[in-house]
Amino acid sequence: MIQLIERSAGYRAAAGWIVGLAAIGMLAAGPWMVDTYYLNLLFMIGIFVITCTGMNILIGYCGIVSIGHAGLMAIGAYMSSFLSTKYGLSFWSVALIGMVVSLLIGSLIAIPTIRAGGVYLSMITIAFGVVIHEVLIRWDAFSGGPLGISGIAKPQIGSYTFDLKGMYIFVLVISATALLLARNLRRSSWGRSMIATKENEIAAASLGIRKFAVQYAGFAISSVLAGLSGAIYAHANSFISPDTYNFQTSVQLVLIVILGGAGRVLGPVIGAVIIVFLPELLDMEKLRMALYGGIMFAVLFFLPKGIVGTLDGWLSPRLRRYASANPRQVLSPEEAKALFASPVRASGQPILMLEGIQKHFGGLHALKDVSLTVEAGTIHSLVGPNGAGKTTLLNVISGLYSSDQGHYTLRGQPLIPRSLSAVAELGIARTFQHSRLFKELTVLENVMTGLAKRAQSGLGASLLRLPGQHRSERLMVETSHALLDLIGYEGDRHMPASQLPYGHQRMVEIARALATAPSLLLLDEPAAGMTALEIEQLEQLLRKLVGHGLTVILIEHHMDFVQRVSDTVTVLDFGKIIGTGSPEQMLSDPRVIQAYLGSEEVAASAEH
Amino acid sequence: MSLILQLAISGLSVGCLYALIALGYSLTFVVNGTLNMSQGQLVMLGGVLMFGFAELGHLPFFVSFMLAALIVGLLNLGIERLAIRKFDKGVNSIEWVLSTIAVGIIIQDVALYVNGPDEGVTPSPMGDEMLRIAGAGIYWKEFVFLPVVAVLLVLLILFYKKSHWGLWLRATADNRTAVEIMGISSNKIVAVAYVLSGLLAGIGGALMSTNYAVSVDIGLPLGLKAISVAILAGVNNPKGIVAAGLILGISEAFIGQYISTAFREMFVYGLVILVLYWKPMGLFNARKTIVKV
Amino acid sequence: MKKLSGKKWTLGLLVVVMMWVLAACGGGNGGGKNAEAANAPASSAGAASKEPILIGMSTEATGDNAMNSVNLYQGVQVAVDQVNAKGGIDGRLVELVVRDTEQNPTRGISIIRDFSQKEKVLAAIGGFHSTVMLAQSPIIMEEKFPFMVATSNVPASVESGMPWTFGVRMNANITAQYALKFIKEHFQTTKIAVLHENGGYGKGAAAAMTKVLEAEGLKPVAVESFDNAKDKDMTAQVNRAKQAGAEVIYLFGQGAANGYVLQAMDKLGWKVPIVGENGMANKGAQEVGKELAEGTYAIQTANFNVDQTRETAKVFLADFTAKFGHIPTTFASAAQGYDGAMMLFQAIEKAGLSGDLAKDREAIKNTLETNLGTYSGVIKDWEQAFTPENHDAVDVNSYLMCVWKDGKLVISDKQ
Repeated sequence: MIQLIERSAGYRAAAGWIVGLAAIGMLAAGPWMVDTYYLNLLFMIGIFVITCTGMNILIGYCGIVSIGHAGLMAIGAYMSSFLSTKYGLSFWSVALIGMVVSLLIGSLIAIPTIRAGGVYLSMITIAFGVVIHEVLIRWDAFSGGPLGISGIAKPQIGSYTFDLKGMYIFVLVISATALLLARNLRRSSWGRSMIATKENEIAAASLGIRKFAVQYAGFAISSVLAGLSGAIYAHANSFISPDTYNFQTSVQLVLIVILGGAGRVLGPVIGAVIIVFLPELLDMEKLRMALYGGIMFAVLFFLPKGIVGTLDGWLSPRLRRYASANPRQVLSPEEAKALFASPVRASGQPILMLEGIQKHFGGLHALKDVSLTVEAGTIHSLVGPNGAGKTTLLNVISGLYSSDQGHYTLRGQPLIPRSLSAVAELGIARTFQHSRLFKELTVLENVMTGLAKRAQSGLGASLLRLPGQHRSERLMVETSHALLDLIGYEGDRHMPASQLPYGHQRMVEIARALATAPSLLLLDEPAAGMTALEIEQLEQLLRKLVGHGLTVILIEHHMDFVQRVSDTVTVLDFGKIIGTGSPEQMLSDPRVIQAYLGSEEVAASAEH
Repeated sequence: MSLILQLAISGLSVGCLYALIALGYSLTFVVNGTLNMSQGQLVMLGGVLMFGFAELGHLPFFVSFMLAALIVGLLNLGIERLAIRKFDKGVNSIEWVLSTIAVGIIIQDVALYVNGPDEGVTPSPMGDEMLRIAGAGIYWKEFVFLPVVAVLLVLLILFYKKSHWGLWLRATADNRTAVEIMGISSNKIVAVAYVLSGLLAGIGGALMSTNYAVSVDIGLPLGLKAISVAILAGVNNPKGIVAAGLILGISEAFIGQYISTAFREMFVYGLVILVLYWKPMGLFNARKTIVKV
Repeated sequence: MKKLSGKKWTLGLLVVVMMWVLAACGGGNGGGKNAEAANAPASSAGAASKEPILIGMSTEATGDNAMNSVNLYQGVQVAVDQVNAKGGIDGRLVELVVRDTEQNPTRGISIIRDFSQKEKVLAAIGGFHSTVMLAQSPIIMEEKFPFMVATSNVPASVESGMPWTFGVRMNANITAQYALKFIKEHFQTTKIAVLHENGGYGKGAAAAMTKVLEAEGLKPVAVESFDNAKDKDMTAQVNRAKQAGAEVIYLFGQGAANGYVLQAMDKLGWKVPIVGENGMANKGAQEVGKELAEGTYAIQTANFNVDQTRETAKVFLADFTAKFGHIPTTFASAAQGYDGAMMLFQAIEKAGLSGDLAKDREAIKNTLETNLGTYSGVIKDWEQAFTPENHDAVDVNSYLMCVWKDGKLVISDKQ
């Protein structure tokens, strides 16, 4: 049965290849079918597809909406045109130089852009576009000023000079390649990390994913592709001027991406086809720009996922009906053990020690001189009323907040929790009070993002889907299935995480955290919203994890659950530790009952 | 000496314009963190309407002025409803950047369709006389920009500090839910902020048309320049914005004179990139964001 | 999925090869079809001889040059109306195929391909915005049809499309020669400051004036630029020119920007003669500068504020006013548009149409170059406007110096 399903999936993939290649083949016959008017339009679509595939990675995967990419196209176009007209270099070398320079300048602009975020991000990219446009107008010696550069040589191979037909075929090949690269990227760790960072920066960082690295990668790819398409455009049309690369062009590029569907591989193709053909089809002299604006607005308003995204959202649930139920296997102890990093087997030794931790938020003293020792291979629970500082303590340990004062020791080594991702790399994983799954990714992919740091692959290998990367990808799929088996997840693993029921979300989140192979796992109210059955499963899971040598710090309100699973309980109230001890001892301590019940009543009345 | 004075006062009137338009961005940004990217086109619309009413419709100057400002203000109400409310989904959502850019494109092209490409200057009640200060000259009709902007700034600050709406506006900026609990619809407050911002744009455009030629394509470059002013000053700092607008206007004149006329634009936008490089949240951004988990 | 991936590659490769073969076959067929399509008009030409003659019109209806560009379009429309009123050319009416470039070079290129391949126009006219025209010219050369450049002043906009592009425009080089001669004769100076907008129009003029002065061993005392759409305060530019000791300003901005220059001069209390071209001739400068514009010069090829002495000009002005309700706002653009279109029609009539598009285009081009004959236009009478070497119809003798007087642009006493 399983094999049958796998085979049908294989046939579907093969069918995809056939359809794709047939489409490219038909397009390749274009020059002999249509006149130069249509060929020129097809060529322009190709140019847009190349640029916008890069921008799709930036906008759709990374969530960075750049309104200045016409500037990067201009850099590629002008670098190559300048070098080719001035020094007579061949197209192939100047296009390469154009891509490199575009990459360099794109990198310069990526740094402030990624740091800024939000509306400032858009402003930097707009300002960048304007600066490039101005430089092109003013720097006569390089750009020829407002009159641009004329007489740019067409590319040549041997004695063959590329005319429009040749350029079109060339652009077709490049854009098909770019699309393939974008597809490969989406199916790699890099792509998943990009989407993870876009959707939830904090959760991604807690898995050890560095925001800057993945977003910079997106910026770099889009810069190179923009530079390349700029160079091709310039050499095909023999003339460029600053007017081609203004604010409107940048907006148009963004429009193509969102119209097609940000994050959808085929989105730029659909977007470019519509944006290039529509004005030609409509026989209107007036209000053409208003039409552009209207389309842009309508897409944002009615089709926020773009055309491809909306179609896919409609189709894929219907297709998934025929897809597989998932293989549920019982893991042998050896297999289960292989999922974890070499466990710290020194039970009874302290794994984490905190001394004198202080944390203030403005006037609020959230953590008052907290000292705590967590022993390896145990489940250590933090309990206390709402607002006692439990989550704050977890955030401080995991590096989300920096403490004002205090010392940390991890496995006997001093630890300075600088950032979530740095702490994650030290083998501390966490979940969050409210589910922070990556909704755009499937269940399986969510778990795979946790593996990103363990099985690192190069960006180039991911883009090209080299055999080695392919293998490691397959390994990651298997490991993730195993992890889902471990936590006992039985649902559809190729379903988007956004459609999961709440209890399942919490379990998948734990599986994702486990994927980073932590030695210390921080769980923030994992049982909240779970059914009794699920809580029982969770209890078994925690015992299994401890059996594999993990240490768990648990924040929980279900007291009987805490009592059953905990080895040690620490009680916090008003940011202070009231006491630490065995569950029986702590939960019957009169001070604890007083603090707990007293504040609980207050908290309960505040909620209503 | 008189040259320096001349450069300073020449830059002043342009600076006033930048300040006025940038104030419009500030009004909406403090309330819900959105900027209307079509603000420049609204200014254009104010100017074109002013010219249309006063010169072509032969309405009295102040009637035309009021009409232009009101129409643009009300239009902005519609923009808020259509292009902002649905797209403002939190700190990092910027769909509204794109939706308001789209609105700007539509406004500009429809204005072109209705009005044609003509450029026009509305005769100012101040006449065409020149004011001479120590050898430096400025037209009265330009000079009047300064008191108008000053009065508007004072009114705005009074509004913020003294009126109920001003209080609610500030409260919404701090905590939207708290305002909702008090029984005031935060949507309504955002709408008020947008109407005010539109009024400022309309006033800016109408004022502008008394000394500068307005045509349908002046909007976008003005809007982009003004947004740079707002960012350099810190978008939620009205006094800073006025100061930055004036400084920018004046420094453009000086850069033109002493460095090169060619590098003005590069200077402004280069500065925006540098400032955001150094302070990613804007120069004087007082708002702190606390990550909530 | 896992097991099949090896086979998937093989399969993919197979499909590539298949597609290659298919593509090659398709290529053969497609080529045949294309040839048929090219032959089709030839056979049907006799039957459908009353089909209209299509002429492309590439214009700028949007952007900061739109106000001037409209004049060119209107001038062409008057020419078309006149020809059609006489029953067209060889009994076939002339129809304009109008396209707006939006000042966007990429769009401009697409329009040329559109004219040539989709609409199959016989010839085209346009070329207002210089950078768009510069992008279009090499494509016109590829597509091989006659194109009348009716305004773009940059020399290269005609030169880089030759032999297919023809100019009835004020070539910046020739304009600069004319202006320099005028300035030397009437103001006895060569201390010229060039103030220009930073688009193709202003830049072309600045380069031309610099070149003309250099030919005499001189150079402009100052060359300052401004942005037509963005700059409102020109104090710095004007003051730099003043400090450089300029005695004449050669001013090439568009509309209102020129007015701001006048205002800045007023503020600085500095008055020197100003010589400009189309940008100085339209309403914008006057709108902003008001009485400051008095006495400024604008180089034109026609003037419709005065009584017309030429018969063609009289008829043109009457028809124009009847159609649009006012006289042209930019004289030269309207006149050049009209004359350009009329020359094209005359060439079409002389060449005669065979029905084979490529041959007809070639014939029109050759006629324009060698066999156009006399043409009496709005601007002047031409003996033979073009030669294979010279594609600029407007020469130094075609210019008309105009001056602003009492809020009206009239012909200057000084010529």
